[in-house]
Amino acid sequence: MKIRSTIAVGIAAVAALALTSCTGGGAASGGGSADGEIKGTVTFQTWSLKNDKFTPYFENIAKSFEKEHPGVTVKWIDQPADGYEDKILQQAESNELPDVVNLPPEFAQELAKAGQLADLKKDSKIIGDYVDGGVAAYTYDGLEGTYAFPWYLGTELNYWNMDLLGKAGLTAPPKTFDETLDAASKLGKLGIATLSDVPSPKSLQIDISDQGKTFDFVKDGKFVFDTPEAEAIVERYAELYKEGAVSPEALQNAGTANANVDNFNKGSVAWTTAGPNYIDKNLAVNSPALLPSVKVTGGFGEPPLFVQGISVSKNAKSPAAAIAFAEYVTNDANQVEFMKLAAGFFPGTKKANEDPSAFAGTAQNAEQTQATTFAAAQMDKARVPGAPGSGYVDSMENYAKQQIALAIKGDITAKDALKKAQDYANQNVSK
Amino acid sequence: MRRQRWYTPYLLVLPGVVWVLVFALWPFLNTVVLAFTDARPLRPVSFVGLDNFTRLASDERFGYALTTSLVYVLVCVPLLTFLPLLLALLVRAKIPAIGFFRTTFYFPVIASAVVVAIVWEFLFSSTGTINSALTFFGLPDRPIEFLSDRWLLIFCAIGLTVWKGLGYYMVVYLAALGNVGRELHEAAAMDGAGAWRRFWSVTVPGVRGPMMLVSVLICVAAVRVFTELFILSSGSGGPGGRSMSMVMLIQSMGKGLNGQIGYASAISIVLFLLTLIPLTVVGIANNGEMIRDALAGRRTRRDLRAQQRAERRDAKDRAEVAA
Repeated sequence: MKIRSTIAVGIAAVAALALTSCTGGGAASGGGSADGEIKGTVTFQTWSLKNDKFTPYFENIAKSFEKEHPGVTVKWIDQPADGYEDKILQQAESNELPDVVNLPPEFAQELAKAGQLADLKKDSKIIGDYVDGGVAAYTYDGLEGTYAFPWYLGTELNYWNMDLLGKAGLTAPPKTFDETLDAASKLGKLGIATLSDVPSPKSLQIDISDQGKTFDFVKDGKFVFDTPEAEAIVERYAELYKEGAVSPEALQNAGTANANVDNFNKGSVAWTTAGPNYIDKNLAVNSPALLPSVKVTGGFGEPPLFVQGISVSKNAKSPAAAIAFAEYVTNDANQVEFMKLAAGFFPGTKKANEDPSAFAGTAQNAEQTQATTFAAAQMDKARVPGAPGSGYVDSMENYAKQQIALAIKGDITAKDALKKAQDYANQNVSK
Repeated sequence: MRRQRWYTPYLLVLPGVVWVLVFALWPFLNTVVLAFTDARPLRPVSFVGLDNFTRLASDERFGYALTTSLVYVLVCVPLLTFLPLLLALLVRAKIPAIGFFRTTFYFPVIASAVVVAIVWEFLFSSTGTINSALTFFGLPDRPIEFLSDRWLLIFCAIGLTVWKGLGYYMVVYLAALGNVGRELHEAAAMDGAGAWRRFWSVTVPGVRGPMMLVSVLICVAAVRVFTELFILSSGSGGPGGRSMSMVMLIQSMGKGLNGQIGYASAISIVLFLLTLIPLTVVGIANNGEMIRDALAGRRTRRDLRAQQRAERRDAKDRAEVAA
């Protein structure tokens, strides 16, 4: 079955290529930078953005694009937050990937390797307008091209439960990663957990950069996690675990997305990292009682850069219209409008980032305004965590976390855990 | 009345057959084929022979998953075979308002496993009800890590499975107990058998058939456990993934755009073979008499044939002598 569907995908891709080459060479009509006539139906898929806040925005975008390009119909669909990866896989396997689709870099990488996405470096003339870090996130080792327009960018900040920190006499949040571990030790002795998550290769990279050292992640084409610096941090966590500074839930949920944030929301852990919109979108909704005690500070070291992008399917029925629409959604004006709604995030084009005041949205909580400011301040030094394009995926990160959790409990050594994690990643990386 | 056409019965079973072919048999055969390939989503597939199975042998996560599933079977089968029987005996008594208790014991069966598991997570988490209670009484210096310790997590999940399964099997036993005659109990009592002796010598043999069925159902369900462990460990399988069950491992290996479908299929095949073992054991136990009869019949026929051959040889010898 798999073989047949792969052949079918292949044939469809070839057919699509043949079709595009037939229509190619026509006059480029206004708006899109791709060749070909902008006509036909474009399907557009977003990820968990259908709600009171965003629905009017997307409906409006579709309508205004249709107005600019008579003869184009935009069909907007939104997928629920859970199971997006499975949904994408299902769509790709049945050859029904939407023409224009929101994909995080990891998903786009797998689809690009399977030849399902259009190379926008080749097909679009304006890829240079987008921020470099974002473009890098969609450029992959061993693959020519760029596979999405950077859409919105985020980073990670530190959030502190000041009530808990206060119990150890701390009046201000720790400023560095090492100070955090020292504070964790103090609190642990009082029976209060500080660490809501276990380290992972990606977070170790940030922590080690905060210590002024580097963590290569990839060396000579192989993942390398077992370094003296990484071992030292994991060993320190193991000591802190004995002191009661690591929350048991951090071990229970090692390898589960957002478990640290859920853990922090319970009010029993003093520190977590989270996205820049955490205060308004999550804390104020899920644990409003905690709001007064939570304080935000900037991320440690070289903070991570998270990117969401808009990709174009290689099998789009109207490729020119699809690319034109993808460019339209991610153009300066539309990105700025979008950021006004998504407090704490940043647009994917260079020009839109020039004037942050243009999209300074209205935060609902005072601490959210702080978070947005911290996020803006660190966007310059933020970089995509891990080694972008190397094929390091969530399942490897999860496996690493599980092994590191074992090391923290003292069941295996830090060296063993890191070594197992790097071996697993090296063995399972897809070609 | 018109006589039905010859194909009417086939027409009636057709929807069922198509359903089984499309949703059970075809995926099963597909899994068998995939187990011998390096299939990944959206990639060309090539056959790798027994590579996936040799990899299983050296994969420690498979070892942990196998252990978890086997421990689940070993603990769940006796508990869920006998506890519901005792419960059924208890609620069979004719006392006022017993219907209320029967219904209450059945309640956990109706509740969604996911919801119940989330409730159990509240109970057992480090800040949960049980740890809060223990701390209130000043018992441990730090919370007991029910959900981040390999064995405690497995036993919490087993507790959940047993608690949730009790009511269902109780109903099966209630029906079966109706077939155990009162007169047998009375006769045994007259012979001086106590309650315990009557339980083992009258009740248990009386419900032997359903008991076999119940234990097989539990056995198969326990090998395939997923929901309880998945929710209690938030999908991680505990530190190191050591409390993962076989199905959890299959899920974690096979899901996503980067999933290793070939390898996950190989684990599925092993799981399938494992579920066959209890089925075979019970098949033999339940059809013991039939098998014995068949074996005895074969022996008789063989003896008969040997006898006939001997007679023919005798007749031939006699004929030769006469000649």
